[in-house]
Amino acid sequence: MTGDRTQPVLQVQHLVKHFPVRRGVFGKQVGAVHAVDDVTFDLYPGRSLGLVGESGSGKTTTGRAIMRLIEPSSGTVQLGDLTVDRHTDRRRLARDMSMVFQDPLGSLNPRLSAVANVAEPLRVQGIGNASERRARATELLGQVGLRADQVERVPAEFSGGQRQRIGIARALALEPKVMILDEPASALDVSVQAQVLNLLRRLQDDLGVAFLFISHDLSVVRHLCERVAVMYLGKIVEIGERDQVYDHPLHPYTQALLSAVPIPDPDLRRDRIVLAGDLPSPVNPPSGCRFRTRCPKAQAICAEQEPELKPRTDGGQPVACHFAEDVAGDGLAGAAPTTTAGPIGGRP
Amino acid sequence: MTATATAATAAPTPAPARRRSTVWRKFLHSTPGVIGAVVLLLMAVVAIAAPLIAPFDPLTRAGSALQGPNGQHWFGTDELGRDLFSRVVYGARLSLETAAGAAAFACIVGLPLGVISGYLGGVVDAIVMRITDFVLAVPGILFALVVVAILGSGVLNLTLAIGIGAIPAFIRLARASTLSLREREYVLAARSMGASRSDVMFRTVTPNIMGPIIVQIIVTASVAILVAAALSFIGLGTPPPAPSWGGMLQTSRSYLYQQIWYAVLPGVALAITIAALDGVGRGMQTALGTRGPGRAKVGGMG
Repeated sequence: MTGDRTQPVLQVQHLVKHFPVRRGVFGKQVGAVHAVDDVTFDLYPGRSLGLVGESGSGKTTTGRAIMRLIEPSSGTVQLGDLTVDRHTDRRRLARDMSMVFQDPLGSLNPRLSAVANVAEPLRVQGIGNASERRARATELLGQVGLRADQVERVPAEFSGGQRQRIGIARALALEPKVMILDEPASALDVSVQAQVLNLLRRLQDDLGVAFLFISHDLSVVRHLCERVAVMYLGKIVEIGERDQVYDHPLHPYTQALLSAVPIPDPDLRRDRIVLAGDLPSPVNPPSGCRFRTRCPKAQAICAEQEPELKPRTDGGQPVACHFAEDVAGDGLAGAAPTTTAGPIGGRP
Repeated sequence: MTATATAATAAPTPAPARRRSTVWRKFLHSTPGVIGAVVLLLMAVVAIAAPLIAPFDPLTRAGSALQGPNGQHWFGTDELGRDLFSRVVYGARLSLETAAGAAAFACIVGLPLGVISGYLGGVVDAIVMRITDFVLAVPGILFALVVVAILGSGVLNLTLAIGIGAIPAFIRLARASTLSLREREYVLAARSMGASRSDVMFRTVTPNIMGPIIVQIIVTASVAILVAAALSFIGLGTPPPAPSWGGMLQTSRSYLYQQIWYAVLPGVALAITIAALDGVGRGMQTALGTRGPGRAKVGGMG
């Protein structure tokens, strides 16, 4: 795969998804869950963007809205030269963008064999005849490391890691430009996680496909992605190159997240930033900065004015915080783990 | 993380055998299921091979009237001297035809309607469900009665009447099962690969809800046999001289004091068939691990 690598393959702009909250006999709308609020990012060919955040931050909804599994409330998605909106032909969209799901067993059709599952996208798109599709699916399964004598088994007969590899083979079937990976390794144990992640990295090198990698696991994202976007309550609060974000996090939330990642060294100590309270309700998100209710740096301005995510003049990555400058150099950043991409997963 | 970790550690255990064969093995472990299946199979053989098995023509006089069971007439004879064993054997054919026909008709109409209703939701769902409610509000036997009254009696109309009455149960079951699958990741996956709505509904959802549907087919078959017998009993089913079990029960009522076996033996045939279907239904439920909405109540008026 070649082409211009400086042109984004996927451009997401001001993506919003509000789920209406209805009450009463006539279903009057009384509010909205602000699942995704004004999410904007670019994804470049053959590159990976990690989308991280805790449960309920809107990562999965973002992925599904881009894939049009959920109709977004507003915003634009540009996939190469294809503008994705409600009139876009689903089959056309599926040729350029595919998805890998979190639950490796739940995302495979339990009635179909591995090879039939992988051949499904080809069948749906009307590519080739039955035997050609089988041959191609078997080849794809070979690429993800399944032997030809295993392909006739049904999903229940495989291990978790094998199932996820089948899911990846299926997502590759149409040779997409972009793959959305929604927590592809979270349901796997650590050693299997590493296999799957290494497989993904190899496939990316070989095929030049771009990944939107959704995960709550900071170590996994660090291992796989060159760029990282941190989400909090439906908004991206910080986005930038991996090393910038991991080594010099500017947003207090990013700093708190990174301080929670265990360091595999008992002698190394650092100050853990413990966030108070729970994620606020996305039905009525806090005014101003959404993080202010849990932020150690919160001031009066945070409740009044919403910080914008915009490029910074000092060369730092875009961050949505009024006090990003202040916190950048106060030593907290140095407390973030600086271990190189080695061990994956929380615990060894 | 802990939940996912346990799921992952459970994964590398020896690969379970194919799902289909697991279902089959579980079914074979269910005593009522196996007995029911064997009896039903015998019944089907008898029904299909009726001309070879029945020693006499079921419609013509074969000896003196109202004999008890004896060497020549195993079940005795009826009030017109027709051989009862032959009539019961041909009656099995009639019963099973009605049962299979009604269940197949109800499933062919109800299953797609239920899947469409559950998957599309909205206005389509509301319309289908209101019609379903309307049909369900009328008791099954009364509904069949009305349909037979409109269409006239006869085996085909009887089958149709029972089949129509059984459609709502299929719609509801298919709808409920579809709703439970709609947000499953493999259904989302099918959508994400560009599958059309009908493709998702009939190639992804439908094959995955067949377990409870098969149980429902069996339940419907047994209900159909009972309703057919009941309608024949009140003279609205298969018109005489056709050898229907319900018809035999009805006529035998007048001769209870002269020949008790005339009433008992067709009744026993009916009871055995229903019990066999019930057994198969239970076996299927055990094997599929579904208790299904409205757990197979054989004999209930669907």
